Amino acid sequence: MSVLLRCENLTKSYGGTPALKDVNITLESGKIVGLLGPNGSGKTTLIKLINGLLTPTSGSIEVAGFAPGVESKKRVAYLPDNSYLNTWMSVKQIVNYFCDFYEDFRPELAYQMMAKLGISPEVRLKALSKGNKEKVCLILIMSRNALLYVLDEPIAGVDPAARDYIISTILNNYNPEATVLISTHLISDIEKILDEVIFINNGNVVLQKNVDDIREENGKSLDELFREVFRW
Amino acid sequence: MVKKLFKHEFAAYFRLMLPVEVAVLGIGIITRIIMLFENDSIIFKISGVSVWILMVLATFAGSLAMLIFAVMRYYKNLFSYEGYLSFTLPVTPAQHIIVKSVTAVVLDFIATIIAVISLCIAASGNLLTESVKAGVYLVQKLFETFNNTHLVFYIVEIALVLILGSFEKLFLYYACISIGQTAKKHRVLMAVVAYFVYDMIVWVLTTIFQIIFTVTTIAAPEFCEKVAVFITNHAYASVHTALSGIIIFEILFIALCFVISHTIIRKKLNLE
Repeated sequence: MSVLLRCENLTKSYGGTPALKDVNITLESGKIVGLLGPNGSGKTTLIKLINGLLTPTSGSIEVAGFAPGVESKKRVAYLPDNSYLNTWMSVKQIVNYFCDFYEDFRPELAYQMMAKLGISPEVRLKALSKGNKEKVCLILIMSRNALLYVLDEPIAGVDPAARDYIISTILNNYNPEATVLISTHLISDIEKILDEVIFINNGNVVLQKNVDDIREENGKSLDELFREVFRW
Repeated sequence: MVKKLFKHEFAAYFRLMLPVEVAVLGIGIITRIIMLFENDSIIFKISGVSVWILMVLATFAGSLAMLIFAVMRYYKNLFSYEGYLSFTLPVTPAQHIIVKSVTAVVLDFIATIIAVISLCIAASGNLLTESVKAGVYLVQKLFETFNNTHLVFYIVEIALVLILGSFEKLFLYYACISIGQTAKKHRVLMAVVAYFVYDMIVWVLTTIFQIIFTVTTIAAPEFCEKVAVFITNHAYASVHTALSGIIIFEILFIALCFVISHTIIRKKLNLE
């Protein structure tokens, strides 16, 4: 297994307020990793740093050996926690857009997944429901043959049936040699698919461990351990 | 990647521009149709004048629309929710800025040509013929008055001043929008504030320059006279120097605005 993501002494402050403090994380390939923490713990900041949407105050990040930039962006598929597509575009236009910019994009897979949902390529994104728009975003991301998938709150604010669809889409489409980093606080829904977890609180990594080891050592589910660690 | 960025940038602009440019051309055609029924009646005079006012307004509106589109494309595509997609594409911030500015300038030029075509359609007939004649006469006179080589250089220099001027205006807006993004809240308002601060700086510098100029004229009239004589004796060189100075200033200004925007995107980007 090769190292896909390496964060060393990563710190990010907004003004004088630290959002991440001296974070050290190493992620290996071929894993589904949960980035878990309460609201405001620094999950989204970490994800934005990985994607080059923020610049670290200090420390370093490497994705497949590259600092955030053109080369890392070729290898990372990122799903933000909000809808980010140009809504005036049709589904076909946005697929073509991804095709143009990402060499690893698989349009046939995207169309196949959209057909299953009954989404026509000709329909404009603004005509889709919020749920379908989110599914289209996920389909576009999972249609890439990326090395690192970074999904920020992919199951937040959707109904249980949609959650199942999203989880199965992730499981069925990610490159097995890649790593999926999923940020969420809805642990019980994704617990069964996680290989490893990172608990983050107040900008600090408080735990990074294999899920099976956690269950064996603590005799608790991940959800129970989360509630214990982050109890008010 | 730059080619692909251009492709999608032009497509996005085309969608915004099309209705505006169709309207500009449409008003030109309507004006021409109304002018076909030219007569001395009061109704024609009122409608004729109204349609010409509409024509002129449409031309200005078309030009203003292009500026609004340019600002909108930069802000929305880079700093709103669309920025999450733009900045995760495997392209550099410099490529984003350059592609956006070049597209805006090229399409602004096309919009100007469309406005001219619309005016020509509206004014075809005597007015158009007379305008063309006046233009040809002006060019002939210019070539008669100035040395040919100098005139060619003047044309090139003036074209450069105008092209760079379009970029200068855009890059100033880009820099102001980018500065606005460094604020925690009210980012659009902060961009407007940044523009007013720039405007104030320009006003202060212009006032200082005017004071220096006036004081020099009063305090050292002989020196001013010598300068005036020098300019008169070296008219061609003086104009070239002035135009070259403007070109150099514009390039430096564009570079400064580019560095501000680029640095903010690279180091201070924080999408909401």
